[in-house]
Amino acid sequence: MLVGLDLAPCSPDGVAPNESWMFGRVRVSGDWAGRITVGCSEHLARVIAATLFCMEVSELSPEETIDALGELSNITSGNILPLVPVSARAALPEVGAWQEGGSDGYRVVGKAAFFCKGEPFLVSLEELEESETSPSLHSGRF
Amino acid sequence: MLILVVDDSKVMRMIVKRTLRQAGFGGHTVVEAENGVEALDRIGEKKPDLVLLDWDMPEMNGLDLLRAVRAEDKTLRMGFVTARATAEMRDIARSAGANFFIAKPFNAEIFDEVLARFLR
Repeated sequence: MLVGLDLAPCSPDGVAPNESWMFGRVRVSGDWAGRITVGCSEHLARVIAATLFCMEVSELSPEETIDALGELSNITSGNILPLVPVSARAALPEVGAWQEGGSDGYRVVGKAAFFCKGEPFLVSLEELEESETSPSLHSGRF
Repeated sequence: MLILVVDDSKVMRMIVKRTLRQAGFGGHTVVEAENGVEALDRIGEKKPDLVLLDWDMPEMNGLDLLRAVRAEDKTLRMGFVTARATAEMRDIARSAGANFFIAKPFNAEIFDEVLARFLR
């Protein structure tokens, strides 16, 4: 359960984000550099935001959806970062249209997926490939 | 009592207020601020009894706000409600004068356990 939302784990392999998806992302720097991303369809993002705000989806503004997805990525990253075995600092969340990792200098090292309100919700951990000082994390699911 | 909730996320300020009510603290007045700079103004204007701080915020983060307040006021009850809950950050918060530390996600039981000594 995440902030009042029931999540059921599922295989990330069967989850295929597309252009209708949004992401919330926190970049990480320090002894390890990477980013932690949560993503889901825009529809699910609005449903989640409405749940968190205790509002109807129709009452929600785009800014409120962005705020909610950003806060979810903030909470998610805050709970993943202590598992990174080196000192690392997180930046403020960014929210935008979904981009698949692994094509812009980041390598996916961990992925998890959940069903929330009947739709997939994806969490990914990526490390910056160009970081020479960063120790690599082992790939896998978390 | 007057409680100041400082968080750059509107939804998190709403969740914190809702959780305060669920924990039985609904009889207190709550005011809000979106960052540390705004919170400093609120503290000066409203004289809150308790301040709940996010850690990461634009303009001025929660730690800088805590240090700024503690430079002049050692008695105002202030603590973090944050997703950044590593042991290192808890130590930094304690050293800077935080009275408590609540990790996100939280629930009403945790709020009651941590905040009852300040609000009852």
